Amino acid sequence: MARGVFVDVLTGMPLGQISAMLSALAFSREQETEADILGLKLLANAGYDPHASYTVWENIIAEQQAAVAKQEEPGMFAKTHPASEDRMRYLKSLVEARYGPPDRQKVADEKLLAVLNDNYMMLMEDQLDTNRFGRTKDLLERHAALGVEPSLVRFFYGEMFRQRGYDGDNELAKAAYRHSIEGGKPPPSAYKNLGYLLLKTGEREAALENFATYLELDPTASDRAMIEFYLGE
Amino acid sequence: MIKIRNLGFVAALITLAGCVTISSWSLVTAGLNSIDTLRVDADSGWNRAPNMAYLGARENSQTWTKDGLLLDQLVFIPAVPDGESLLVSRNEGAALPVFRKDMLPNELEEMAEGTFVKLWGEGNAVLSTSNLRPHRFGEHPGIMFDFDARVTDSPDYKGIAGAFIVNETLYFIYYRAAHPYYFDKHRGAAEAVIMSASHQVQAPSGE
Repeated sequence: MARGVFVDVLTGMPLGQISAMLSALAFSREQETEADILGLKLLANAGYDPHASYTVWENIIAEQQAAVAKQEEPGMFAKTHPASEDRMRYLKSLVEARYGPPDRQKVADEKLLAVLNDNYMMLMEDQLDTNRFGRTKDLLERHAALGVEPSLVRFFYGEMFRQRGYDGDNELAKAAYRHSIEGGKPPPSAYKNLGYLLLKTGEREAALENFATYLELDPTASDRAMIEFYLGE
Repeated sequence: MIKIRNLGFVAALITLAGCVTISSWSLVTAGLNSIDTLRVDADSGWNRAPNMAYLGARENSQTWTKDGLLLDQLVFIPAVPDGESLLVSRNEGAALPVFRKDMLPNELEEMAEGTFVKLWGEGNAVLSTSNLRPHRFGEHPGIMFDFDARVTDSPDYKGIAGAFIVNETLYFIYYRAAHPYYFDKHRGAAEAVIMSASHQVQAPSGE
């Protein structure tokens, strides 16, 4: 009866599903290369920038390097596919031979930035859930360079420092939250999480002020009862 | 090298799958129940799963269900020491969040959220938590919160969790069930068990 519920703590998948997935991942390097080239053709034929086919790998390599620096394990995708550097190199040589070098410096599209800003909280909260802070920091650096709303990026620097918890990270997190607030468009949670940090470091009065501001900005916050508990103490 | 590692991984899972046959299911007695130094008041109809039903379960944890583990689970994780995680893994790269004795409510909620992501599989689940609220577990202040999960190739899940800290150790209880239907079906019973939780000074013998 219990057989169907065996799961791996890392994948959360039943045994049968894991076996099937491992088989599916065991494609040869030649098959992967063939799929990459076909994908590149489809991308270019559909009118997308073919240079994106290798820049995505450049970004993944940068993330992996950030992960290695923090001794985080590469994801299963990276373990079972051709080395990212190889894919980046052959795609880049194919694209440059066929389409020439990129004709302009990449500038973030306003529509892309608007979509990113609208969904940034959800996307980065999911990234934080991975508990992989090296990669998160690398992503934040790229988002800042891309032009994502600075108050949001600074808020997630605060989240990353606070949750990482290295020596000195609490102070870095406080500075990042304050920086987010100074940016003019902080999420209300910047006040809340700054408040929690201040509470932790014994600055109770300042903590309660931030909690009050949080509830003013987000009166229907789902954790209102928790914040009111502290305000009423 | 990758294939050898994968074979070892599958072999380990098969070996562990064999281990479960030596354990058995049992009916939970209605009334007060002890799980290590955690005490809860249960209604009838809960079934205790074998300890090895889930890889990654801490040795002193228990999992109960009413309709089967794929549909609903009530999980008790008592006395997690400072610096340890809610699950155990021999893979140091798993990046499981760890409990710290000075964690505040928001941090306990985040630690649980990060753990659930690992439980369902990184990249396979989108988790969100809500309604963080205070709750007193016996004489100890604690928190409760709700969560929901969208999981790849799986039903959606909803859940309720409770947590409190005693003597620098964490007591964590959660109920999760497939949504729609099963979550609502047992929500009242599960929430009552979670809310009844308290710390008892000494575990009775036999537990």
